[in-house]
Amino acid sequence: MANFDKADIEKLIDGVLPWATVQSMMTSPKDADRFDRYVEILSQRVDWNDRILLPLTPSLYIVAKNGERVVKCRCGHEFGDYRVNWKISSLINVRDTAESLGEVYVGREAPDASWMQLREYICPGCGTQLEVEAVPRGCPPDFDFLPDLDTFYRDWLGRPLPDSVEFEDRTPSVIEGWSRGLSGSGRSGAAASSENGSSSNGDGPGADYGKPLPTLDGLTKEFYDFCRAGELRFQRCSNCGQWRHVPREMCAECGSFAWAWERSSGRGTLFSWTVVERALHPDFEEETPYAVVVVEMDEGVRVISRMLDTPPESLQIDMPVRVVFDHVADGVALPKFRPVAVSTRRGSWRPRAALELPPTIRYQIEDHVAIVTIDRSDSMNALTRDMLTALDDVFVDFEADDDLWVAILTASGDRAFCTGMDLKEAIPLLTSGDSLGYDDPTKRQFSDVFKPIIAAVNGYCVAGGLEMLAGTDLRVAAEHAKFGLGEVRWGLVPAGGSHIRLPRQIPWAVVMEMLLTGEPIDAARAYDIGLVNRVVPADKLMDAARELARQICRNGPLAVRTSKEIAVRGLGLDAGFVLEKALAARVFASDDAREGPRAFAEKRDPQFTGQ
Amino acid sequence: MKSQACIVGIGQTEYCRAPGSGMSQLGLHLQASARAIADAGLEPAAIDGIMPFPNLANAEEIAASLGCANLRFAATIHTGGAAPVASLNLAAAAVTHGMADYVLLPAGWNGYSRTRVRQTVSTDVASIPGGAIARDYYLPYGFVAPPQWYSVIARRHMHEFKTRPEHLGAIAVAMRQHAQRNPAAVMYGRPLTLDDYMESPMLADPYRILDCCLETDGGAAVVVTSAERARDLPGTPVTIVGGASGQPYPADEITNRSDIFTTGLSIAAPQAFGRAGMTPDDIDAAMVYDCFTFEVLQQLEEIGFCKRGEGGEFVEGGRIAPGGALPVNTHGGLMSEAHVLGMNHVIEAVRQLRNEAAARQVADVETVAVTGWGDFGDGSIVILQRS
Repeated sequence: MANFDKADIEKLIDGVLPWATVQSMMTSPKDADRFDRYVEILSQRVDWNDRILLPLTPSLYIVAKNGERVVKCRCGHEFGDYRVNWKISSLINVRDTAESLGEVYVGREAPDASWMQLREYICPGCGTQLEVEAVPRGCPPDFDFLPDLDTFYRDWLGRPLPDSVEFEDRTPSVIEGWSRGLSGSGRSGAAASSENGSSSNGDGPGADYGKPLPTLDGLTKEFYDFCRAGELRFQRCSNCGQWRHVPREMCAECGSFAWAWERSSGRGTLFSWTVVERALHPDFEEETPYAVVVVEMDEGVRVISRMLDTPPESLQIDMPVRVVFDHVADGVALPKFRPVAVSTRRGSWRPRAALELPPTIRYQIEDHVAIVTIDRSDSMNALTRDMLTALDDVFVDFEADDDLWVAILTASGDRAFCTGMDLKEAIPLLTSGDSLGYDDPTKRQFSDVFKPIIAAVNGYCVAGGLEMLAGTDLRVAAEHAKFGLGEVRWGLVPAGGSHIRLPRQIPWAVVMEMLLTGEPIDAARAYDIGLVNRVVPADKLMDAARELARQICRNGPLAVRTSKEIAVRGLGLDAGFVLEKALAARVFASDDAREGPRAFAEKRDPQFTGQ
Repeated sequence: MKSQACIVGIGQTEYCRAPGSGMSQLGLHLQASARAIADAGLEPAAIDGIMPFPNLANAEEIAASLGCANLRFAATIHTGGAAPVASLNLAAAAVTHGMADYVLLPAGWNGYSRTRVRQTVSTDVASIPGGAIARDYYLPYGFVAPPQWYSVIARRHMHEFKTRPEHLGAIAVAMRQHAQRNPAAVMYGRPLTLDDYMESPMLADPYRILDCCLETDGGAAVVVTSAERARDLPGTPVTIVGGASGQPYPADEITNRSDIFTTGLSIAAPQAFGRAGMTPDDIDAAMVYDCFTFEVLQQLEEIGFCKRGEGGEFVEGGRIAPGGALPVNTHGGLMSEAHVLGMNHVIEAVRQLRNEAAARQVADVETVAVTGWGDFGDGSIVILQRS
């Protein structure tokens, strides 16, 4: 029997397992622990700990949570019971006009909007497009996959799941709940309470949860039923449009009894909060300290709730948050909140306290200047994936903070500014065909930062280091700095934006020299061709960078920021970035792309075949 | 001049913590009531109106025990800690309109030895108006008790007006200083410094343990009658010159208020001063319902002793402490005398106006305001004057 190790499965998941291996995998009996390995790998790739029962799509999983089986996105957003089609709890972009269909189909390829519509299902938590569906108008959302989990675990894996559940599509009962809420004609209290008696599922709250639960009755039951289906809905007056919470029978603004449950944006800001150190209630004593928050929703209503995964010391009034649903007991999901990393309405939130940075990325503030330092000089300031992520986080924070006007990007030591990806980490990825880029083909490092970034180049600036430099605006270099893109020597291409950015920054012939020969240039030449603004002695590097920052900070921050945004967006780099990613993929999938890094690791000359 | 009502009798039990009062809850009501009736120079049979505090005792059992055979007016106002002062205002209306001649207002509980004060709401939240909302939308989040509910308002005040923990501490310290002059206070002989306060453990940030009222056993009662009847009684009557109650909007839910600092007292205070023909400047001392320090600060602002947002500065420098320009809670309040549901505040106001406050007597006191605060911010205020 063929045996495939974890690395093979990982490649299979990523779609980079060589075709011959895939074929042999498909034609031989399954190894007994294949499923567990598969799930183990998926579990390692998400940053939550709920047990994955089954993957649904590349982004969605069915997970076990407090006795419920819940659909959960990679980002942590939960859609509710897996027997309810998750699509009805997602954000849906419907293209049903010639104009909107024309945005994705060229010319006559576009379908006739009177016959067909396109629906894009988007995760409310992370904005990922989860599924696209082309269906006749009015067709209900396809319930693509409703697995019989109990049968699968019992008969195929030989270990039944605890608490087996009724295997049925529960979507219709949730939709039935909507139509009750959306009746629009209003109802009296008597009508509302008679309806809740005929509710379609009679599950009581879980007996072992052991904490107070809402009494699911009347309007409160309707509110929490939506939460259970992964939706935050508030009442909105059908007459005057006023939103309200907590639920009430009539509109206190205009006296109307007509209302509907309308979907909330799920976003808001912290109005106030407390950290409970003594619960004063036996059921909550063990949880202390815990933060209770008052969230002011974008709709204007306020809700009492809790923050998830947020240390109390990072809470701040006006901090932007978004809703998540905590399925605490069978049949009950409580809306709770997580911080949103970027500012929304007020733009003044400084989430620095919430940033968790590795020690290799330092982020300091001097007045209006953010100083970001790559601090890994013992490895030539090469970047690990964690460091790349941390850099992204830092610059999201920088961009969002109104008090920060300019960033200086530099590195520790005097040998290297940045030598690109850490090869120990990158080679196994590269040899498996990973291009190490962003999922979004139009995104590159700093491509969505419109405040000025000044690079202070303190040594070697090569490979990914130069790619990063190409995303900065003003550049100061130490006299000994060197600049180069040696990727082609190892059968690779610098797909981090260099092909698109550099020809717009320095002369064509020099770009080609650097890209095609892989030979570096020194600081003097970098200055001559206009790759850097200043070359200074190494000990004057930061002074020169700070001086530039000071000059910029004397100017109107909005004008500065807008000026850069116009200049950058005017270049229209997106199409080039998409092209770069698409074409680079053929290099990364080649044999040469494996041979190059392998030869580097084995310290020998590569044997390229051009295949 | 319209007819007025007076407080003619006051009575209280011993206030204590461990080992407890040794009496039943009803017993505390009865002992305090009997003493208040005797203080007025009346027999129990003369009492024809009873207004008990919500959910602790009922008029029927009190009347049956005391021997009030002529009961014709019984009512309870369901506004928690705002009820004693609100009841006083309603009792005044009752005696001036002939609905009753002598109204007894009793309150009492074993807040230390039986149901702890801290648990009264969290274990029986549905007992308060709006309790169903708290049950369904607050309790599941562990937001279960008044210090937690009010702490989010305190934090908002700190955010908007730069109110500091030291300001809250100044209130706790002032209450304790007053209690050092009141031998009946549970905290008599136990002084407190601002440092002690700042080191006290957090309960619901920004509230510390020492921001909270005490948990004690005790009962208190007063008797109200008309000014005409008061003249025939042996004691010195204290006149009710103005009073009002108010509710925040909405009163059954604490977060969805267009202005989070507008509470019942914001509505009640101007009415009470209007009826009395007075302004806050006329007040010589105030008995402010002090469930927590910040609620004192907020009520001082809403009564109008200072502008909104200036409460922190107002309480600094001993202004509300013994000898200050506006002594607040000269008995020590709920925080340092005892938690007798605010009825002890009414009794203290009467003592001050009768000149019976001994070591803590405020010099030349003529007018005292008493407030109540309950549930999600219900408010009440009464202005009392020496007759």
